[in-house]
Amino acid sequence: MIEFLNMGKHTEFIYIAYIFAIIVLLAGYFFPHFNLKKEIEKKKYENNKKK
Amino acid sequence: MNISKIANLKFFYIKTKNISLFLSIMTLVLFIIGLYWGLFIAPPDYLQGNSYRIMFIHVPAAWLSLQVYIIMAVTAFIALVWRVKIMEIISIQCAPIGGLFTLIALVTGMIWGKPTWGTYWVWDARLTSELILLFLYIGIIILYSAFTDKRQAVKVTSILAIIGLINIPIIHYSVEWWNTLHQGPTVTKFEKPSAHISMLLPLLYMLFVFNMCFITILLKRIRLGIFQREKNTKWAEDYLND
Repeated sequence: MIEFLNMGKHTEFIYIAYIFAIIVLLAGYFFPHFNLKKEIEKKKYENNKKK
Repeated sequence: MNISKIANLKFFYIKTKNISLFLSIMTLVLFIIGLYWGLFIAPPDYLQGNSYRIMFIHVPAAWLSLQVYIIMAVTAFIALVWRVKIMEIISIQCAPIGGLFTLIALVTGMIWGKPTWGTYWVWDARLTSELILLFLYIGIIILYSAFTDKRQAVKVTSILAIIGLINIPIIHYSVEWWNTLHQGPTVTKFEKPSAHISMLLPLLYMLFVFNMCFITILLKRIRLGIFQREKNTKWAEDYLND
């Protein structure tokens, strides 16, 4: 498995670049996703409080 | 389905819920295929070895950083002239996404630069103009959040986005106008591409996948933007109560 993942002398550079891109894209996706959920919950709570 | 219906915030918010989920799953699958292709199927380069594989994420991210800016500026212009609400939202929601792609392009470029050039950073025209693009995106986000009146904020950020458009041709042609360490165009030399087809295909595929990522994230952000703006309207209240 490790041999399969091995990219020679620049292995760490390649994987750091890929992992960084994946983390940034996931953060870009999940930030608005959870933010919208939070906003909806907040609004529902406010509406229930008014009742 | 006509354009005016899509431009209706209520219609857009409700109808895109399921599309957003479908797009997310599809993009994830396409992205995993692209990663496998770029990392394990594409052959190593005769000169750079395996480190060139960073290009499969660096180049699409760099392209998207420019493409998103153009979309942001065009929608900002439409929002400014015709006051179309959905365009105001699209324009401002493009800024954080463009910022993400610019950050990915810069950081992965730096990581590739170390084994290839022997340094993480040089102040050449391409790298510096791309860094200015990142500052433009950050500036637009900060400017927008500084205003309490969001429609006024859109006007101001739209003007900044349109002025900043001047940086796009500078970034694109910087490698031709100045003597830079950054290499010249590889993919856009359509008559005789420098890259072999076995490397060009995964690169073009990843460009498509990054476009899918952009659409998926943009859809999420537009829905968030619509809800933030319309949460006190009757339709939003009714929709939440259902």
